[in-house]
Amino acid sequence: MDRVDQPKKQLVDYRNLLFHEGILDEQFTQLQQLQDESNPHFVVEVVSLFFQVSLRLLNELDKVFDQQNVDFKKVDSHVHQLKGSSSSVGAHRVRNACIAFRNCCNEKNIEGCLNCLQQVKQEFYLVKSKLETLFKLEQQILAADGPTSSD
Amino acid sequence: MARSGVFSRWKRSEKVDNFDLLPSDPENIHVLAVDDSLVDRLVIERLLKISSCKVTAVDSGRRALQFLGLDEDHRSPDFDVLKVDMIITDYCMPGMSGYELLKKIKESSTLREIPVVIMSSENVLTRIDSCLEEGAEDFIVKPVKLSDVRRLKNYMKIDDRARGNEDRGINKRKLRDEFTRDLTESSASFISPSSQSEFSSSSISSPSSPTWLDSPTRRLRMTNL
Repeated sequence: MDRVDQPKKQLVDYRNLLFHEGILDEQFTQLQQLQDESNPHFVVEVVSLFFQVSLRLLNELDKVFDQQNVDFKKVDSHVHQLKGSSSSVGAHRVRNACIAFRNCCNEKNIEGCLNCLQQVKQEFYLVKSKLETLFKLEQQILAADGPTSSD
Repeated sequence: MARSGVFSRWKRSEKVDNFDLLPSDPENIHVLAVDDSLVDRLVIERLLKISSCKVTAVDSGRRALQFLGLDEDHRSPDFDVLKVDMIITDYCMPGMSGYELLKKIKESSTLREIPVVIMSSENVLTRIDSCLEEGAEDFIVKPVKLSDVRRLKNYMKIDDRARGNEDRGINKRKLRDEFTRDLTESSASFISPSSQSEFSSSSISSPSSPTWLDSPTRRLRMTNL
């Protein structure tokens, strides 16, 4: 059944790669363990929410730095939330970038913060893109398996 | 009887056949989860449900108190409130923090028996200490995992069996010792199994006791050993 095996292998390899590159960590595996027949779309749900929340926070952060006087408390608060969410879904590099960001924030270093913000954005869009690819691969497998697969 | 209905496992004056209410009925465990983070609420909810708990998730300490029938302005518990067996709350929240929520619950004569667990992304010793001193059952470092939730459920089972006519102030830390072997993450265990006599201690806040360090990967309290 090459038709099914090849995509499956591709999926497994791809997922392993994401872990290997440190883009995802064990918390993502936890999420997968929370998915079952009673809740078959859990991972996609949580991750989608994470994307939504993160995009909003990144937007808010842009606004804060657009101001004359940067409100570092706000920055810290937003980054704290972003760090929390990324940690909860296993978006390891985003989380680390947030930690670095908070350090810059503590030092009230605007230049440093802007660099950190760039870094966070980079990591976020990276993990977003990778996870979207991962989900696509999963979809393909479900489609290939046909109606017998649980949806 | 002032304290009926609000919580199921921690009634002491009501002589219910506790042992029949054992979590052979795990579906009866009702957890109130408090977290301002959308993502974390979704995850904790799922973690609890997959562990066969009923869950009510709210986004603030204020809403938690309202749900518990203990509004800030009105201290009258609502007996219609679904009984809550445990409260798990995030520490850092806008408005009322998890710590403040913990205090309010422990100050309430009707709610103080409900075990409260604190979650935090920050593993800060002083924070952990103050929460425990305030009466928190446990402190979980985020991100929360399945093994954390399983551990919490185990506490409740043991406490139910072991409580008997025990007054309030069950030292759950002692009981946790017995479950270290169940923990999947037990590397360097800092627990020194204490004698049974510790169990009858009425004080929950004994932060200097080394016995509650059951999740060494999550706590850094090595100093008191």
